[in-house]
Amino acid sequence: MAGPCLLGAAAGVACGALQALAGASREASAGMVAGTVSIAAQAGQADSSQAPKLPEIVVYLEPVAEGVTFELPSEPARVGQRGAKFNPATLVIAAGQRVEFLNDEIDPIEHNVFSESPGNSFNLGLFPPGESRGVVFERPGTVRLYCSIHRYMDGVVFVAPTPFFAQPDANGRYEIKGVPPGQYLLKTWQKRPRYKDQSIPVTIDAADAESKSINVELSRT
Amino acid sequence: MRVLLCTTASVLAGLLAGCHAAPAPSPGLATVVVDVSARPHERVKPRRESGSDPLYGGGYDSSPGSRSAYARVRYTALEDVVIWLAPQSADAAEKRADAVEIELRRSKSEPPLVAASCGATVRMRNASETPMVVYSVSEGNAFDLGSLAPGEVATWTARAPGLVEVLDESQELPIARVFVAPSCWVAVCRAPGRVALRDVVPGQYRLHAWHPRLPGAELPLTAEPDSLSSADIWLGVDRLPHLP
Repeated sequence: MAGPCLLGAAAGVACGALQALAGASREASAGMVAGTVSIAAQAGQADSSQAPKLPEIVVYLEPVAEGVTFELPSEPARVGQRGAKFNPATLVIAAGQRVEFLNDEIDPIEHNVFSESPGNSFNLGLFPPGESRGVVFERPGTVRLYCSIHRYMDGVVFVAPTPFFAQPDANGRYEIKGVPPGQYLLKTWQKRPRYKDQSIPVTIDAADAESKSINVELSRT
Repeated sequence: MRVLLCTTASVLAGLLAGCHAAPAPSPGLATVVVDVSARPHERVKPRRESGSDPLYGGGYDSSPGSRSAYARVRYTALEDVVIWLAPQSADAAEKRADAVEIELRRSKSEPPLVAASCGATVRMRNASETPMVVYSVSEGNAFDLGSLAPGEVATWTARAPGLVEVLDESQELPIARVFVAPSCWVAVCRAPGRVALRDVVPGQYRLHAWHPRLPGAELPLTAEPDSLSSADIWLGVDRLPHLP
């Protein structure tokens, strides 16, 4: 089984976690949601070359019904700390997934990892190179990571409500594969919010063989 | 944490309690003086913040302006701590929120934090030499002021508690940061030290401390008429549940 979808290091159209979940037994009924994320043209903007750069963004599916469960990757996600930097600086996982924080410094420098984010607050204490400590993130939402020692050491875990998420590529294209039939909301999340997040209803029918095409336009209002 | 109370009539007692630097309250009201501090992890001795302990990257520059990846959190000079009083009783009635003024400038670093009360009018002036498209998408406080010419002023009313990032369409970093507190008694402590909340209506309160990075804290506080109340509050990672 593939690992979780790591953002920041290498942007891809599809996420490893989603591909991993598209097992043989699910292939027959699973659907795909794909499209493009763009920024709405603003008044006075002469052409598309003036369009602002797409922010670091995640597109994900949230089930409309409550209590729906999904298969999670068996392997934990991993975050390194070499150079007093969380690597990846942005990690996207599904709710219920475990993240291992590894102190992979070469020099004998200790780090701490903590977060005060609602529903996902924790403090892993100080630990030396070679040691790893893990957290299971149960509640969907944004988890801001910090080190209590190093001033600029910060990162983000976005805990998606399902394993069905993707990071758009440089052209804004995204694909979410292996989606079980059901009713969902296609939502956006921004690492540093610059635009209003979107929420678009999506229905995946058992008979859906082709992908649903949904384009997402972000604007400041 | 410590809460002390001294009456304005008792100058000597006030001096002994450390209240001498506080502004006196208006008749019938109270002044709350808060001493704010921050603590590193219990295993980290204070000297390691500025010393040369290799365990924490001690060979790197940790001076206030340092951009070294290993620059350490400056616990003895922590900035942007927001302090406010949340009323807990009917007699601790709210007063009118004070207006706040902000000069908007583009910068390559995070702008300083400003505190405002829920319901406060925030006047923002474009202090740059070019137009700014000023807006926010912060939860509960979204607004769009459109394009502001240099020197132009626009206002926004703070509605929901929390951090508000004011954005300019042409800049990645915010051009202003406003922490909206659910209280009209709010102040920003620029470095650990003392901050005074003046003309507090007597009653029961929860004293809150918030920081953009470190876990916050709160404690109960009673404000008595014509009195100076003094409290210590500290922020630190050891307030969070420790996972083995």
